[in-house]
Amino acid sequence: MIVKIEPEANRRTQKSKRFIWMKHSDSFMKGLLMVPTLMSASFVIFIVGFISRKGIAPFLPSVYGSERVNAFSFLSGTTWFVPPNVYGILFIVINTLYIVALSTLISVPLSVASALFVTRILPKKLQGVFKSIIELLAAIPSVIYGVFGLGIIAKSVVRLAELFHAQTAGGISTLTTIIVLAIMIYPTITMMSVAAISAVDPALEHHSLALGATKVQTMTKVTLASAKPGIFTGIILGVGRALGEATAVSMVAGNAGSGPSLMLFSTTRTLTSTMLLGLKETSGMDYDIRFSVGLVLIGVIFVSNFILAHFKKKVGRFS
Amino acid sequence: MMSLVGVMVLALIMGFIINRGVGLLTWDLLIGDYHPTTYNLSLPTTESLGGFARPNDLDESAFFSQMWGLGLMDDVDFEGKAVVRVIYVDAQSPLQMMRDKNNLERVVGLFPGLALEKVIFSDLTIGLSRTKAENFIILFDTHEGINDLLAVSSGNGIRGAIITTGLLIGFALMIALPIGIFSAVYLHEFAPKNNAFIHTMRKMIDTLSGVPSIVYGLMGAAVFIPFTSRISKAEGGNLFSGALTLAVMVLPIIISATIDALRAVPDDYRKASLALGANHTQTTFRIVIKSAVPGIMSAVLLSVGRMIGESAALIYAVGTAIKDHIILTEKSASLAVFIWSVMAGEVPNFELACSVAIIIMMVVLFINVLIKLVARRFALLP
Amino acid sequence: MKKLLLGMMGLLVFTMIGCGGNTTAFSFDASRNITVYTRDTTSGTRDAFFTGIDFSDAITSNGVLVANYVEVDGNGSMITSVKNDIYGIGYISLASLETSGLKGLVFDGVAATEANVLNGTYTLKRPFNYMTRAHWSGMERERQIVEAFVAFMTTIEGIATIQNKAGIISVEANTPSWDDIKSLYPVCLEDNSDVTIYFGGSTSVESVAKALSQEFSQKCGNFIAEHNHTGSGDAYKRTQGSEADGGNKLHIGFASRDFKSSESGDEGTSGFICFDAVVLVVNQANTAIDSITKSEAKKVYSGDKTLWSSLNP
Repeated sequence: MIVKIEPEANRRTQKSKRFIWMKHSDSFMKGLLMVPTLMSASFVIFIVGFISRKGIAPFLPSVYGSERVNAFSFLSGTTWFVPPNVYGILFIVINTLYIVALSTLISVPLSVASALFVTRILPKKLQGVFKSIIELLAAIPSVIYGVFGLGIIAKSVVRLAELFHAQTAGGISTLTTIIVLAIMIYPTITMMSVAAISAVDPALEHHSLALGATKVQTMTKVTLASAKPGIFTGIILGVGRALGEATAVSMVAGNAGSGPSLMLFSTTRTLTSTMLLGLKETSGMDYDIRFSVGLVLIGVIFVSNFILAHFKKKVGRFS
Repeated sequence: MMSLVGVMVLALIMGFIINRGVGLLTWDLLIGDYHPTTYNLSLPTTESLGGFARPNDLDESAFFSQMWGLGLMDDVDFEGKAVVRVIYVDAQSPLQMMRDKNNLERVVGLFPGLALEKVIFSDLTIGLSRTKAENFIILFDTHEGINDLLAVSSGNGIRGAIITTGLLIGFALMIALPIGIFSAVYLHEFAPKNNAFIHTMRKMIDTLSGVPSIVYGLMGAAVFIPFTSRISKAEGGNLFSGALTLAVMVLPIIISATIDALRAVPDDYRKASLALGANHTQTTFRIVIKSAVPGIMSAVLLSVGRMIGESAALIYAVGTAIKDHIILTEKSASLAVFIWSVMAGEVPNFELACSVAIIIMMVVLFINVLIKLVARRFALLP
Repeated sequence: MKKLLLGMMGLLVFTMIGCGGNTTAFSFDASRNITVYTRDTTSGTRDAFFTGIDFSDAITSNGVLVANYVEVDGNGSMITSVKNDIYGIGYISLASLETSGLKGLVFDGVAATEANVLNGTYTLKRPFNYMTRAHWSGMERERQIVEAFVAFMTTIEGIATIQNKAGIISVEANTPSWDDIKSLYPVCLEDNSDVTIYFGGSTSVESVAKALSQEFSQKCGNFIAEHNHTGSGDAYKRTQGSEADGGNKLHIGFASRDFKSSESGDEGTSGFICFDAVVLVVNQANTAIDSITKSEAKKVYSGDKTLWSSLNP
């Protein structure tokens, strides 16, 4: 900052005054800035708190009396909704995890390969174009992915099922859901992987090449190894998106009433499709129970994030 | 080769959307009202009926009434629903002298472009658009007076949705930007390092970015709608509750992007400023933030991109009613919710949904280019 | 550059496979399983359908349905799903049958037509009903407009509009015209452009209700009509029930079923608008059946008959 030149006489006192003000202003600012930070940080507690409050209501005798849902059978049940109060969510959690795991398995190799291709093989000019396309894909509203899944992927799945002499409900199946999700998280993982691979020090690769490793060896053993933590962040984000995706999934999942459905060609039900389906009434048990499902969804996301973050640490350590 | 599969799928989706949606993409769609204008007309006196000749240039598939000098054709509207379109009205036709039913002094002639909904003739025979143009013409040719005629102009414009989206994003940024930037400044410039409490706060903000949007929607419905209803005359979902929900949703994006931008400011700047006698506050606000402005700009653009495509959260926090005249304290649909609305109706409308999706993608593309430009300036600065 | 070209070619092949899938239909094999499609439990169409086939346990419970049923959210997704699945069976509103591209089944020997609904022979039908508020304190103008609107629904003009949106009802000899009775509703001569009337309730009634309000707004001082259709259950709840005074309040709500005993509003606040028929649909490629009986339909949905070949053609 530019310090103004003051008349000599006043300079000393001014300076000390200013010194005090400056010192205080710093701690004042610090306190002031702390407020929005605390606000931002507390939103998570806020969200979880409010959803818990509504989500726990169906289990409380004080709210629903004899109609209340048994918390244990809610968490361990394998049938969704037999009136008045049987809601089982275990099979839905299993379905959700199964679908998300498989779609991640499909998407990760594709994304990483694409990222390698873009950063290491594609000329610089095309890189920008590719990145823009990927970002565009990430911006397509999810309902459009649902329409695409129903219009094209489901039809292909019907043909595939015919090859195996299996019958699908017009392609509405676990497999279709997996493919739609894999496509939806592809941009997320690819974008993060591109960033991670671009950040790898080229010198490392030059050394590897100089030591006689082939280009392929270098890519897999050196480049990918050092980009691993970044790629893992991408996977965590992708898994998060897949777990939370609602609109497209509910269009192609079929919403089976019981399960778990591990067969690829059978219909299925996920946490989010359960939350979205038939959400028209705005009070009563059938509405409140959706908050309970939301609570379980938050739990699943936190746990999976935690596990993946743990893996990420391990991966980072051994590379 | 594997990446080619990725690119192919992408191209396929793009092709799918563009193929389906580009047909409807017109200027009228962008600036038009969603709700059609209704014309309720009657014809108190009938003169000069009959003897009209079918014009030569009238479409082959059109039907023509010689008695009324009227040409009708089966057509489809923006939603793909069948309508009966008025395509020709003879200059001498008595239909030119029809009156507004609510103000019989006012002459409102039937004009080409309107969709004819129903006609009740003076002997109370009913003609309906469901029965197609040909039957309409048969009825016209056998009746001499009109009691009640209903015609509508084509609706389905998305001007209301565009304005709603703009307002939502504007308000959300007004709330989220100060909170987000100040949080980032605190976390990066002021907060003590290696402090467990600060560390927890950062973790919590990171966690916020992993919350799925449907959960934000639940929160908006449970917290912000009651809140905004209390402080304004709103009853139920409104633009403010939506903006608040979006603001919370983009907070983590703004915070982490701003921190990145602050991190990129060379430490020399801070040291130089401090050495010149400026205190920490002055250094931060006059030097560091100024140099981080381009980075913060791209944070803004990133969050705009996220908000424009958001539907699940807004369905709960604002509602899904499509409006032409936006009132801040009432429900209204943004572009992405508009897509959801037209898809969730009894007769889903893929084409209109895809057209709006193209618009959203174009906006996102535009934002991407902007980010690139900003980033380039950013790179030149230090 | 080579890779780019290759990619383009790959894309072309992929697209062609995709399009090929749209046009080639499989031949129908009657030895296959029936895929049963149903709407979710909040749907009025579901209520009417299961009531119509004497399977009322299934109205609110999925547990009594055949295993492997598919639950869809809305009339539109029902149409898309059965169109995609040549072994599927579902039920839709008669209004959307013509444009759906599906095959409607003759039910108990009677074809699903408007004439058969009106003469009472086609039994798979449901009423569209309305319910208005009972308490109007502070809403005097709204009350008068809604009163006029209810009257308008029974005029020739109103009925014609209902018919145009596929509501099933006929004009009788003594049906008045709006021009005859509008003098009874002086509120319609005023400028009402600052009054908003909230419509809501069943999604099935939405198109009828919107067409009516759009026309009636013109005839009654240009009031603003706001529609928020969320399900039949909200017709009572938001006019006279637990949400009658909150942010979700309605001035008039619609239900695509009879009001339940728990929903009986005040005397004179509810009434009948028209009928709608529900029709069982199968894929166009289905060669197994053109008609179905009530008891067979129930057996299909309960899982007692799971093969197409087990149904009598």
